[in-house]
Amino acid sequence: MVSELAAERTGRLYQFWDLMTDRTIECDAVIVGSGAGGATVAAELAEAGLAVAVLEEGGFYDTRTFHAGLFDAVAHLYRDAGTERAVGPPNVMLFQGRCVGGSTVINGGMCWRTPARVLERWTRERGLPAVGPEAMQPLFERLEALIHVAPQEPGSIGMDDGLLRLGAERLGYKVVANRRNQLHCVGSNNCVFGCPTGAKQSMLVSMLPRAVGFGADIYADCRVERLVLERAGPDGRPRAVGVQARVLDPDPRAPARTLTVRARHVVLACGAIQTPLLLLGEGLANGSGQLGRNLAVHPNAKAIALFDEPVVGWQGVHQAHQIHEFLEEGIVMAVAFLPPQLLALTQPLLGNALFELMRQINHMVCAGILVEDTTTGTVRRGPFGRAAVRYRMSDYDLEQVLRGLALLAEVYFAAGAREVLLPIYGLEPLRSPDEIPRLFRHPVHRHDLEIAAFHPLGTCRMGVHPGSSVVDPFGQVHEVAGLWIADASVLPGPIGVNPMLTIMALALRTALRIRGAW
Amino acid sequence: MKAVYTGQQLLLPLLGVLPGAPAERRQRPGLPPPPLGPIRPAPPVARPLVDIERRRRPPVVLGTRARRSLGVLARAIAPDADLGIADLEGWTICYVSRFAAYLPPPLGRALGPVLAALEWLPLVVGPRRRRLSRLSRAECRSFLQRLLDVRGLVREAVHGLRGLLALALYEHPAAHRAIGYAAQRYLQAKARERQQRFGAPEPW
Repeated sequence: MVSELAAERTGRLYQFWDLMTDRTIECDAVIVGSGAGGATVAAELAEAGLAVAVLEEGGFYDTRTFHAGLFDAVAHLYRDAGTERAVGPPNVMLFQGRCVGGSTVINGGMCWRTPARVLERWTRERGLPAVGPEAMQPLFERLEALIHVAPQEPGSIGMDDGLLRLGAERLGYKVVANRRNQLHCVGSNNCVFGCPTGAKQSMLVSMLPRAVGFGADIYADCRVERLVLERAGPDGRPRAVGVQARVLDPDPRAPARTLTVRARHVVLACGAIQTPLLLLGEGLANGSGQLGRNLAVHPNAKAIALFDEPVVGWQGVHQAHQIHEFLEEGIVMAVAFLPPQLLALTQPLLGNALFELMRQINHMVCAGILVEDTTTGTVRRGPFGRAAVRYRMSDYDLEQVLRGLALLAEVYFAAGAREVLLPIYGLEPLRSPDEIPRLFRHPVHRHDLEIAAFHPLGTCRMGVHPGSSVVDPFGQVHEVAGLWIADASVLPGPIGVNPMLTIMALALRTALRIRGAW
Repeated sequence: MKAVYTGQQLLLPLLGVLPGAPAERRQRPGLPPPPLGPIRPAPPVARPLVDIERRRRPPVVLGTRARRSLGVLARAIAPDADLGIADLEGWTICYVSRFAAYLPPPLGRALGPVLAALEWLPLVVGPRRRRLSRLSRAECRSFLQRLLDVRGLVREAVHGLRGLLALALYEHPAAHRAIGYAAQRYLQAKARERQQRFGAPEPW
């Protein structure tokens, strides 16, 4: 059924130069954030005939603007130019997208279904209905078809991926082909700076154009700062009826202007850091005390291996395989090439020592481990209204990271590496497998470990009971009528694999519930 | 799959019939499969205007002292060998002032004080009791190394600044040539290859 408001829809993208005065619009559903969750909800609701407005804080950049230079990508596509941190120790570098398409524009495009053991745990421990593997299967299938999830074509796979695979196979480890959202990917290996060929089916080129095609409007450069609420209804809950956003103009002399959107449904999809931040700022939805808590990040640690033969890691797809031998134990390994700018940024070297390492870039394999964490961090409102993220890694997770690094070093040496550099400050490079135990000989100081994270999740967790969760099993906020959350923050815990498809599947459930179809 | 339900969940459907019951209580444990119809092709969409130049923020203006300190630090991070960068200090200062415009305001504002602290800190921690801008390249490296060896906020700040300068240095095309990195050329060739084999990319 097409809504009356939908008849007025334009189906286009607005940018800051289209919004030169204050404006108020009305629609059926306003979605805050255009990443994996927001774009999925937008496409589903627009297709169902609802008038949809998507508000995105970041700017709009398309395939033609993506290139190998780091400055433009980091400055324009990453939140805080890639400087966001969770305070530890160890401090964790958090990388999130801030552009139309969200983090899907800058991720590696891995599309793993939520592991069955995780879905069963959610059913068993959290009591969530219809999240078992069988119930989720049709959702996964639909999404995989929409964003073209498939293994990589052999011609697009680089030598770095091949070497890691070789090492793992020599050790008898289970290696699986990645399932990625890509259409004829030729392996340009620029995924994390925006796909310059349009092959990666990020939300930017898949769900968002689909939503616009069905009539949704996208407002880029609009940062939502307030929720519009109506006083408590008969059930005692306030009702969300819209949002108020500030238009972000890069010109500091430009006049301030706001965009107000009134809607029957408000969907927050700003990610696991910004969604709780917005709600904390409004003093909403925290009756359970769980808002901003339970942060999991899937800590990543990278290790670099030097080989005698040329590898040329920048040729070939970002990541074509993963080592899943230790998946059930919460450790995944895979290559992820670092371009020289990022390599120089992360290595604590100076002058000639740094240059000597950089000169070996074409003989380098860079891979990382991802750990399914047991640590839970927090998101709070810090100074200047910014997110203050705390994440103090547990001893168990620290051990898991070290174990993962040791396993990765073993794989590297099995593949023929001559030297392995681990992300532990002050640790000399390993030159043979016999040196791996050095990792465990002395306790590693938390401050000396370099950890990054790309998967913050869990800060508005889903659950049946309002006393222990922020949203219900379909993403509706327990304490506010008409307010929904559809992003990584609703995940009830870490999942141990790349979470894009899980976020999308849960968002699709939310969309079905919003449109009253389920 | 056999579903497992808690006692409270089994009671929820009963509570759901009461007027004013919240939405989560109206769920039934045995939900039907999600109603997903066939995937309809989406109508075509127009390509929006993209103007990255209009989105650039004006560079942060750095003071003379900050620029001088940055120049010294840039020389310390660069190798002794000539990378072929005509004006290393100028390039780095320009890069940092452009990049600083995109940093979160608290971090951007901290850049000046951090540089000022680094300018005077060698007087306290050595290796030579001189200001940063009076240190030789080797002395400057030794000074930075001492700070990097200190755990906590000092290392965090120095490592961050070092990283920004290293980023600037290894973003320069001459540095790419020196280390044999030619990703942009490869990427353009791949984009052409894809277009020839499979047609133009998606509209956005």
